[in-house]
Amino acid sequence: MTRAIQPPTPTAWLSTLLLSIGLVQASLAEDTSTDEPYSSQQLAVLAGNCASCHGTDGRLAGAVPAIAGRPASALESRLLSFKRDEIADTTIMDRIAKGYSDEELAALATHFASIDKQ
Amino acid sequence: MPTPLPAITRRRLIISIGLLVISPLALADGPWLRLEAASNIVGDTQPNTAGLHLDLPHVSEDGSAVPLGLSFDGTLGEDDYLTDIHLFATGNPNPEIAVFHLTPMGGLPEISTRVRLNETQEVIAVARSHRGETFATSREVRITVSGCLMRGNDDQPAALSYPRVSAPSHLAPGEAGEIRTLINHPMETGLREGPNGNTLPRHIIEHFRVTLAGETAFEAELHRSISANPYLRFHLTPTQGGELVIEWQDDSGESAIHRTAIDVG
Amino acid sequence: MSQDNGRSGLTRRQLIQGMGAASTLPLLGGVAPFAIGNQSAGRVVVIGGGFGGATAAKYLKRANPAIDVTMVEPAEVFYTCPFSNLFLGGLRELNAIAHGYDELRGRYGVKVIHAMAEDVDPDGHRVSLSNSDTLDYDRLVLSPGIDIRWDALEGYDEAAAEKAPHSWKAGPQTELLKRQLEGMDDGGTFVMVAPENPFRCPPGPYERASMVAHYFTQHKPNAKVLILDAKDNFSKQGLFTAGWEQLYGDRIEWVGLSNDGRVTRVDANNLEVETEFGTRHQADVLNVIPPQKAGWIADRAGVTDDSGWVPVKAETFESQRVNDIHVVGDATVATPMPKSGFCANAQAKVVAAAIAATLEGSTAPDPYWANTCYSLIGPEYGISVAGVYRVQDGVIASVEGAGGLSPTDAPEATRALEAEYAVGWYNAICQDTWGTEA
Repeated sequence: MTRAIQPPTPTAWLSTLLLSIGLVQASLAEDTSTDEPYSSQQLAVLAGNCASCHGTDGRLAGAVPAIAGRPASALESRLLSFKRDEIADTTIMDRIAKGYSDEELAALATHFASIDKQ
Repeated sequence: MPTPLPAITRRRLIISIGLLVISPLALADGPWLRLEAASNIVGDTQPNTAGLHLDLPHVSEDGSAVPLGLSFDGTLGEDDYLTDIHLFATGNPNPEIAVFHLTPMGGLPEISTRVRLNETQEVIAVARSHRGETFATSREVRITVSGCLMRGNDDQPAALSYPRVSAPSHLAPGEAGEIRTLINHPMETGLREGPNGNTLPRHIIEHFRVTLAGETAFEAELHRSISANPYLRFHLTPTQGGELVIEWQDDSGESAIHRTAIDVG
Repeated sequence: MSQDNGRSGLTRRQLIQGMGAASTLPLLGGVAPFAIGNQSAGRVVVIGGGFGGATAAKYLKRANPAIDVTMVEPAEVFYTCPFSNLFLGGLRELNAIAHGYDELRGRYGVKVIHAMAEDVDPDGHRVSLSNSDTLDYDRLVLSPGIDIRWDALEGYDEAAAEKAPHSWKAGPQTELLKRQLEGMDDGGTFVMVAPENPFRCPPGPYERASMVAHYFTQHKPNAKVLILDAKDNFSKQGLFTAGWEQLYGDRIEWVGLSNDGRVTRVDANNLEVETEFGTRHQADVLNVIPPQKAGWIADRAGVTDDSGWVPVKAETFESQRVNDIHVVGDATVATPMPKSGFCANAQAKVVAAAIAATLEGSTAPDPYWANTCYSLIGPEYGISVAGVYRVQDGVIASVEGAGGLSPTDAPEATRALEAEYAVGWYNAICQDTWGTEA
């Protein structure tokens, strides 16, 4: 996380430095909570890796299917099935889906569902 | 109009000086003091932290064969020479990696080998000289498993097969010669499970000995943290030539021998 | 001291430099917002137009079109290393791995300059180009790929590479190797020298051996492939070894480090190599893949360490040594992420998000990366290794339970499917990076 730190006064630099470290650590602890919804910037990063096989915004159709604009529930259910080894003849998506939490997979499904197919 | 030193730059100076004060203290309390086997070698002496160098990658994707280099550019008295160098892997099940015994013929103490590192850890080297000087150094190595290096089945090499030696056939007096050696051996640690679930028994090369014209020139005690198919590279500065005999002996009592000749003159 | 937040005449940095505290802003640990009125939201220069650079440029513009993005890449056409082995194997033409920059320019508004970046002044935030121009930046993204370490193998210098190509940068070197293979006598031996870790594309040499073996099976049935390796283990080794036996019988021979496979000397004039223990091998076509390091502009920028690669901060891929410079792709030390085009593209997206956030004064998102390396052992025989990564305890870590290899002993249909998906992946990643499909 980048964080703008206010310049401390010369005489109090040590205590300010220690306080800054404490503040950063506290904010890191807060950010691991999953209560907040993902920001659009965070979702973009989460979904970024999918583009390498599914095209930018998941829109490219080919040997690897497009995922943009498909219903969220269908995408989510598919991703969870991949993660749980429930789909026969899966070559790669099981190995990828296992890298994400169920919440992350749900967020990804919603994200791609909301993109126009083009 | 003169520009006063800005507040930020002054602060940087104070921080940098502060760090300079801290560093020597950290070095004096070296990791060799926290490992009993290493501190025993050091004994009551305050080892010199300069002079002995460990060359290891900062990060290694494969902990089964990490290239390790030892070199020395410290100051020793006229008739002094390094006699033994001890290597430790602080994070391995048994920390001893190897001990190298050098003789007056080991003029250039530059040694390379490949080691097994179980996990991210500090590797320590401690050296002693003929006159009782001690040297110590350490390096941290981060071990990760790169997915791209996941392996299939290992083919077990036959123990003590294919000894290979690369040595100069001729050296000028006082010239250091590089000797490289390699031999096939599984270096089975005794900690691994075989395919049927039984623990595979320990089977390692324990002793490596080099003689030149009948005199011991270099020796090494190897432990199970030396990688399979042990590779040892070292230097000799012989005063006279003769037959170079290299012998590897493993814990089953078997040995392999390679002979060649070095001519000095 | 007056604070100038605008872009008029003197930059903020020039003002501060004039007061003798050149590195004030980096020390503050953050960057103040730059967007003022209708002026640019910040200037980013990207060096390199490959998987890392082009992706960074595009995704910066996607994040915020108001960011001024200039990308410097000497080549007008970029040839990808991925699938270059397929060209060697006769499965593709060279133009199928060629990509241009029209979409980056036309659709995303990236300024593309076809010149070489020759120097970086990290304090002055300035890049100097081979056409004598200079570019000022607020943030710099370096994606310079690799450079060959010409000092590493005795006898292997730039002149030697014209006789014994490395073909580890796609384009003319790939064409040279292809011509040599076509001109080789049937019954000859293709010798490939494979380097120790780390190097660009861990499975690459072994896919190349596979593709050349395929080409030989079709056109030179008595030819052989010999791999002399400075390692004892390589990426997807079990899968490759099984696939080679299945498809090519004993056409491919691999000699590992512990069997004296490490080459220490190359005689490019005679196409002969010598190993560590004095064994000599004669080649009819010799492909030397030598030790590598980060692209040299990384040295100029001061971001490399003594290993020759670039250590980066896990969260943002900012250089550990120099502020305001981010580095992505093969040049970085990003272990356990391998050096692959997929990773460069993934890392570039995270960097784009981090820079976009910083320029507007907000917090960078948490990074997520994945990687899949596809290799073709034969035209209908594909294998893969995957990984999912995130930051744990301040370092990049592989997510446990995720990723892994294609299964051993999989049926033909699985191998054929993976070969198809490899093509699907290639098309998608090229579309994602340059906007062009193959």
